[in-house]
Amino acid sequence: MAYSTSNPAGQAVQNIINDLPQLVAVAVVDSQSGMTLASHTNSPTLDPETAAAYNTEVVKQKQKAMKALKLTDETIDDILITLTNQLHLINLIDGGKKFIYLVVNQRDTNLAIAREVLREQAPLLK
Amino acid sequence: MVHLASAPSLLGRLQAFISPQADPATEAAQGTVAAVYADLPEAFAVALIELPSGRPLAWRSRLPGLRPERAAAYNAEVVRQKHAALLALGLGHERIEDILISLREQLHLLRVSRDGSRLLYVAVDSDDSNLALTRHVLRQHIS
Repeated sequence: MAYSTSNPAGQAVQNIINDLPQLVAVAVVDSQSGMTLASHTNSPTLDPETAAAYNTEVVKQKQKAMKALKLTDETIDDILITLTNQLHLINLIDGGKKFIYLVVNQRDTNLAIAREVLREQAPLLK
Repeated sequence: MVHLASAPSLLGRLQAFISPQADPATEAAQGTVAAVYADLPEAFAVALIELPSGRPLAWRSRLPGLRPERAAAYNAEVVRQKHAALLALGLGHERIEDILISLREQLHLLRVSRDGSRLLYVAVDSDDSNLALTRHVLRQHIS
């Protein structure tokens, strides 16, 4: 267990696990450093800390794309990535300072449910 | 000296030589972008981008300030980074189908072709459209 429920990030991870017990992996990440504040995985191979570090770069590149488009008054709410069998969700919190990263199998969880579960945790992490 | 009657065709050949429209790949790209643009009247911008180079092949925009060709390389980089993430996580067998980015007032969708060589990008107003609909249209236009 890579989280403690004594802090908001750990509580958020616990709440997400309660709502989506079949999830593959989840992490609450500091966007600037790419470090995880709390994480959990149900997969022996998927390391959520590695995932957090790489997905931080995905967020940064999209922010650069928005700058190139001069969309300076816009902020990213979330990024949803559809793979062959999995869904990867990145929900940005607090103007993008933190994000929740979630991996689910498409056969267990649909996009709308996964997205809703992450959105519910946003107030806890602000 | 060039014969007067042959001058227009010579000019045409010269134009064909220098203009990117003459390239069949670019022509196909322009066709795809035009079709998506027609199917999504609420879209701000549509672009077809070559992967992994990030070179924009064709693009259209309804907003003068929004230049999708300028962000092409960055959007290609979003896909490249996600691909790097998948490899690092041992998920190399998974293929990226699409990436949906919700902004406060816009939705940006990136759909990767099956062979991974092209990226279709569209920006729509989130008040006038929805993710599922836009995604459906993109799916029909790139395979």
